[in-house]
Formats: sequence, C-alpha cells, structure tokens
Amino acid sequence: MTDTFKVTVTDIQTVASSIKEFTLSPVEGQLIPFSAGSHIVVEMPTEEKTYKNAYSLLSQPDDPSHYKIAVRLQDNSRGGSVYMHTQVKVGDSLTISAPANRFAPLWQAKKHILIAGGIGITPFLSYLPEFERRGEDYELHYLYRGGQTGAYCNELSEQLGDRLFCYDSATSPRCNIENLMSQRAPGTHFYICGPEKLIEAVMTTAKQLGIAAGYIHFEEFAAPKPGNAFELELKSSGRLLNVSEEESMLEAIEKSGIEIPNLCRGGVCGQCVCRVSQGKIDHRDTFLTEQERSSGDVIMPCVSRAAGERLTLDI
Amino acid sequence: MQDESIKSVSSRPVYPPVEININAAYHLFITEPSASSKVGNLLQQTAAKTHQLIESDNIEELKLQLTELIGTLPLATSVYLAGRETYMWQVYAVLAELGFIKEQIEMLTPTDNSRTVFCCHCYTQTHQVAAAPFECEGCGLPLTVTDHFSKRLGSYFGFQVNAEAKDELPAAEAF
Repeated sequence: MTDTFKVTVTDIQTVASSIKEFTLSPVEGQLIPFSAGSHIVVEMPTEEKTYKNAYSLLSQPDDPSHYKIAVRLQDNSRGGSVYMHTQVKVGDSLTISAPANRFAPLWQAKKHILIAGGIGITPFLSYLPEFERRGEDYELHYLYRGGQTGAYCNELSEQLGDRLFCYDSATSPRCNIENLMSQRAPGTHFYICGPEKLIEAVMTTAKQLGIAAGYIHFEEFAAPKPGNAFELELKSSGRLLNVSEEESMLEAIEKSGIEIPNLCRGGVCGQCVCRVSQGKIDHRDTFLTEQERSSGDVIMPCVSRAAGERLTLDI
Repeated sequence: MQDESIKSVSSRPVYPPVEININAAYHLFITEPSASSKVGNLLQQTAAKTHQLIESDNIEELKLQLTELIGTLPLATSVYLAGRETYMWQVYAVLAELGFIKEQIEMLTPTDNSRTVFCCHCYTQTHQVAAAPFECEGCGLPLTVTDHFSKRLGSYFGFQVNAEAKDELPAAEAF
C-alpha cells in the first residue's frame, strides 16, 4: 500500500467562484519534494464511506514546507468536491498519500505547449517554476469560463507575460485549436489537462494535421463515473460484495477490508489491475491495451465495471 | 497484482514493411548512398507531396545538415531511413537529439545482416561483423554476439565466448 501521512489545513482561499485552494502543512517535520505534474490522493472520511480523490499539486515542487491543491466544486459531484468545499475548515487534519506523477513534462521536448481547460490549470502550475529554472521554451494556453473557473489568471499574466494566452469563453474569442497547433517545429510537445471534449479536440486536430500522437500528452480528470449496481465475487475467498451505482469496484473492495495496490484511482496508472475469471467487463480505463481489453480477463477496478449483473475477480 | 509476463527478452529490433504516412505534411528520406534505390518506390509515391532525399554516409556532416534543415520542417514530418542497421540507428540518434519522436521515423529492412558489436570488456565497437565468434578490434578477445541491441549505440552486446575454457572456440556462424 502506498504511504499516507497527516497534514493540517493551514489556509483556504476562494480563487474563483467554484474553486477553492487549500494549503496543506505537515503535522510534523517536512513534506517530501515532488516532481512537476505530481498529484496526491486526499482521503475524505464520511459516515457512508471514505472518498479518495486525486488532486494535482500546484505549489513549488522543491518547497517541502507545504502543498497546495485546488478543488473545483463539480456539478455532478460524487461527494469528494462537496466534502472539500463544505466540510473542510482551517485547522482540520487530513490524510494524504505521498505524491505520485502520471503527467511529468518530457524533458527531451524542444518546446512545450500547455493547454489548460478550467481547473485543468493545476498540474501546469507546478510545471512553470521548473520550466523557468531549466530555461525551457513554452507557452500556456488557458481556456476558462469567466469568473467561474478562471483562477490564477492575474498572477499568471504577471509571471508569464507573452507566454500566456487566455481564452475567457464569456468575453474573448474561442481558442482556435488548429491555429494553435499548426506552424510548429519538430520537437514541439502538447500537454492537455481539462475536460474530455478539449482532449478530443486536440487529438482530432493533431490527426488532421498529421502530427504524431506521441506529441500529445494528457491527463484526464480522474473520477470514476457511476454505473449499474452489480454483484462482485472474490474467487479465492468466495466472498460476495455489492457494488452500488455510485461506488467504484475498488471502493467496494476497500470497504470490505481488502487492500489493493493503487495510485491514480482514475484508470491511468495500471497499479490496481486485477484478473477476471468470469463475467463481462465494461472497460473505462485508458491503461489496458486493445488486446488486453478484448481478452476479457483483466480489469482496472478503479474505474471499470461489470457489463452484466455479476463479475468474478481472481483475487 | 501486476501481471508480469515477459514475452521475449530479445531487444533485437524488427523491421516491418514501411508505408508512406499519407497524413504527414513533409516526407524526408535519409539513406546511405548505396541504399538510395531502396526508397525508390516510396519516393515515387510522394512525388506530388513535399519531400526531400538526403544521401550521406557521414553522420557528422548529416548532423550539421539536419540541424540547419529542421527550422524549415513542419511538426508533421515523416522520416524514412535506409541503409545498414547501424547506420539507421545512428541517424535515428541524431534525429532524436533534434526533437523527433519514434513514431515519425520509419526504418526499412537493413541492407545486410552485418552487425556493429559493442565489446563489454573494452567498450570498443567493431563494425561490419558478419559472423560470430569474431575477434574484437579493441582487445582482441573472441566475442560471441547476443540479440541485446542498444538503440542509442546501434550496436549489439558482445562478450568473450567460452571464457571458462578459452581454448575451445566454437566455429564461427554467419548472422
């Protein structure tokens, strides 16, 4: 299991109407430095269950005195962001995982083009100090909805000057992805963090322009989507668990007291992969290969579900 | 819980048939002078598109030439390489240094079976090795050649054959 440790919430700022920024300080000693693009998993114990959500770290990677995360109140929240917005107060203590990174910059790149949609700005905030330190060539394109999700605009514009391109959907023209991606030299890499639609738009444009997929890097918001309830059998013990509509398989397994190694909890990292011995799978991850998916004998329980009423895991 | 089935330990590259990437905005062919005919067919297919053929067997000169050229190339450039295996990987290294990624670089079937071999005892690379065991150009030891391939060096890993019984040398076999 990954290490967890306790932190104290030492500051909460409302940085846009639907986004709060939390400063987390160590209860004792210092936190560990992290690499640009890292995230932590925050545990949120409620009466019904413990939510575990991954949030990008947006503080200075080399500053061990505190971490900062920003949480957007999601429209269809499963409870995590509501908890952070309404339950957590300054002085509270929280349990967090050690930082992990699924979205590090590629240091071989000749130029980095960062494309952020709303709260998707967060992982890039830890890229910037590292880019400055290394003298990297980069641009930040920031798409947001005026007032609601456009946190950090002013301070970014001061810091970045003409490397920053802001697109406020309320006041300015939409970002033209094709213009943004054409006329680029070999070695230019694109990083996207934001809603699926934005990621798809960039991928489609890349294809049209003939840009190799290896130049496109993205981090999807890691949150399992609800689905139908189903019965889960654990082969080794014969135990039966019920996975409810709002709950992921991984959460149901954890609730029963069984621990499975996991990191991102969003179908990206591959840590929690399990063998399936019976039942059809509704694959929702981005980790497994097409071959593995169609084989039907492996699943990422953090996001994927049973396609039918019952699934048997070989654990 | 990770499934760690290792299907093969060989790092020997495979060279599937090369096709023109029709989506690319620019097609760049780089070949050893003796291998330029190998890309004839592909060149024909790109006749109507923006393309260029560079024939060179001097990696240092090629490096300078490509460094100058890269500023004029689009991101959607496809590169096609032809020549001996070691040559293609040397050009690959130059391209990677300039920012190209693997997906953009296609390699044709190497023009011969010869290998460049990296000696793990003296770190010398011996070129155009056709059979093993062979005598290392650096330290003179008889080396056997593995399928372990370094993409960075364009070389196969070689080590002393039968080191425990030095007098019993197996007969050389062609690759």
